[in-house]
Amino acid sequence: MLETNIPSGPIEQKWENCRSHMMLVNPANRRKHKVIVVGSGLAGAAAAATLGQQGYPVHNFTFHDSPRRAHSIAAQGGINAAKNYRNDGDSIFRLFYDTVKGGDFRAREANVYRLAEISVNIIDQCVAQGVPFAREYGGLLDTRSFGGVQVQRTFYARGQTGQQLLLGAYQALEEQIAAGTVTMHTRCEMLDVVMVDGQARGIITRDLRTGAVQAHTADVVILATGGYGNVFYLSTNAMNSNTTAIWRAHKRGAFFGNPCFTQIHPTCIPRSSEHQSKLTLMSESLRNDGRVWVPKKKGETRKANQIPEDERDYFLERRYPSFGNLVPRDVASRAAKEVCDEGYGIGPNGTPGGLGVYLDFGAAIKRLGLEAIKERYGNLFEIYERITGEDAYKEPMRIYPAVHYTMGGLWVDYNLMTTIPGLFAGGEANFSDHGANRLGASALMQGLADGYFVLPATVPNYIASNKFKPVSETDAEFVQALEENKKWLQSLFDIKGERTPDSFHKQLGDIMWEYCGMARNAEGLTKAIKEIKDLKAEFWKNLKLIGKGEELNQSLEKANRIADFLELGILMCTDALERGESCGGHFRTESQTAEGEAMRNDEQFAYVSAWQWQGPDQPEKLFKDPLTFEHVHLTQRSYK
Amino acid sequence: MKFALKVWRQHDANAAGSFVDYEIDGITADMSFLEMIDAQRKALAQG
Repeated sequence: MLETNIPSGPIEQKWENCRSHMMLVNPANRRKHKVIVVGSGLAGAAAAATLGQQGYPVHNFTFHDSPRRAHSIAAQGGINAAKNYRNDGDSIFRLFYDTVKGGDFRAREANVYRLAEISVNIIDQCVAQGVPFAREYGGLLDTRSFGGVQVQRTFYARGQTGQQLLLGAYQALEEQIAAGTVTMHTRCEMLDVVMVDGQARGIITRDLRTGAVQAHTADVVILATGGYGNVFYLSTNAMNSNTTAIWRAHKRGAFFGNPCFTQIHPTCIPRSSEHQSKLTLMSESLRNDGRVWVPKKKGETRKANQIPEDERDYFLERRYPSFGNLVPRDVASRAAKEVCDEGYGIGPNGTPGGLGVYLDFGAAIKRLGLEAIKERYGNLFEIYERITGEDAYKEPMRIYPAVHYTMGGLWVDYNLMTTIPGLFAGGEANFSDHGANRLGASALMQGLADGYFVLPATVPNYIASNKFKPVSETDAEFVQALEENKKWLQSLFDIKGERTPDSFHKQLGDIMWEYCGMARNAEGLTKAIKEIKDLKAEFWKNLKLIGKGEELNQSLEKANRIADFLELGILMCTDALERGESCGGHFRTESQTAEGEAMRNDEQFAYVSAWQWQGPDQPEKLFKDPLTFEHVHLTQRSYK
Repeated sequence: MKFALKVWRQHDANAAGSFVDYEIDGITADMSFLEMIDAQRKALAQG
């Protein structure tokens, strides 16, 4: 049975009551409890800095050369908060409601309410740190609209909000590093969680510079290692983003929640060639002022600017008149895929039949003036021009959906603890708040809520309510885990086959995109599971590694991660197959309304899927964590 | 397009490095510099 530990009482009081009754650790005793934080993005850096400030000796691990390289830095559009500065009808309840609805009613009410409550504190915290949020002429914080909502609650710093927030968290982290409470371990990749008497008591890492495999002890381990979108090979994630930390924790007993819930973001720069190794996002905030369209005529050869207004199909505005271009991401992505599948898409230089749709700022530039658009989105237009060589002030951008975010992740209870006692997960690494689809500008909100506010309350509570026997790196559990991981790495070298790690990754990505992407069905998923199993078998027979283990070796780093992606891919397809309904980003072609919209099945599927590892090549076991809705009325989502 | 590359190769911080010449074919105009390096790396990894 899964224990969610959701506090009793009215939803508005759950977190406050829970927080007020949590056990505390005496300041003098805090230095006796070492905390490991893996990951240094928004969630990881915020948690490490805050716990360090509380007085715990924190060890923060990242595979980057600096915490500033964490992928949170790439977030563009903004961060939601129910401040209601605009006085346009926003409230904590409305942010809560929008998030649950946007997630297609597959998230826990209590968690999401807490997130909406904390959102307000996050802005204060970040302003106090000096994060340069955009301000209006009078000096007040500015906000803008984002998809799936009808209020303007998104705080932003041009198109680089993630970067500015990360710099804030990084400064807080650096302050603690200088104070000696946080010890930073850069270029260290986590390989495993070490369990002692059923508790997470440490980790195994590989130093990417020297190849040294080492054990580290702690009383608590927090994973804030981001999402696993790179299972698709091509995604907007950084090349290094991977699933290894959470997957190894999964193999040690942490349940995996909703693995198939993936977000395909509608506004990315289309893929240009097969050499491409990553995709680039264009912030959703662009849909505030950009209008999405394709030519009405199939095979249209004229350039965008030569196509008159009445020969353009503004398909989002046509299909969803009340939300228009600001429908949620899953809805916009599917609509773009559909028009392209029907042959209306646009290729490079306006060639017909390609995989792309126009995002047009012509009307906004006319209405607001060029300067206003430059002010709002200048750096995004520059990114676009550098990558495509096109000037989006003069001709429309071309965009296409791409994998962007994974709502699934390690299953956690209300305290963000996984099913392994002492192992917590924050940010994108957990499954907790976004249900089957994340609304724009909510990832930064969740990462910082977890890192600055939730974990710094729940981790001390865990420490105060448990006993910890002394452990050392020379204990049998650590020595054994160390040996197992060294053997695992050696086994990759021992294959001595013909194919590079990348070639397996690419093939896995193709299978995932084809069968577990924007549209899924039983036949395709069954096929995908078989194909990935075959690919996994080939990987372990025919992998070719160059170099050695005891040195910088990117070939080994990749192979180590791809071995996990292969197993995760099987679980994602298994989960997608099991969930025979459509919800949010999970679109099962068997379950759609007459108009082609996602059709949920609340009677059968109103639960979180939590999967338990059963051993190599064994089918995983499904546990259902039921979702009950007391404050939100379950409706078929409509943005029409 | 065909490119002649001069790549600095150095095994580790203590090793003496040197430039190595490579020729790579099949580079298209829309590829970035890093994608070209990726393609070269792939060719080397496949041996």
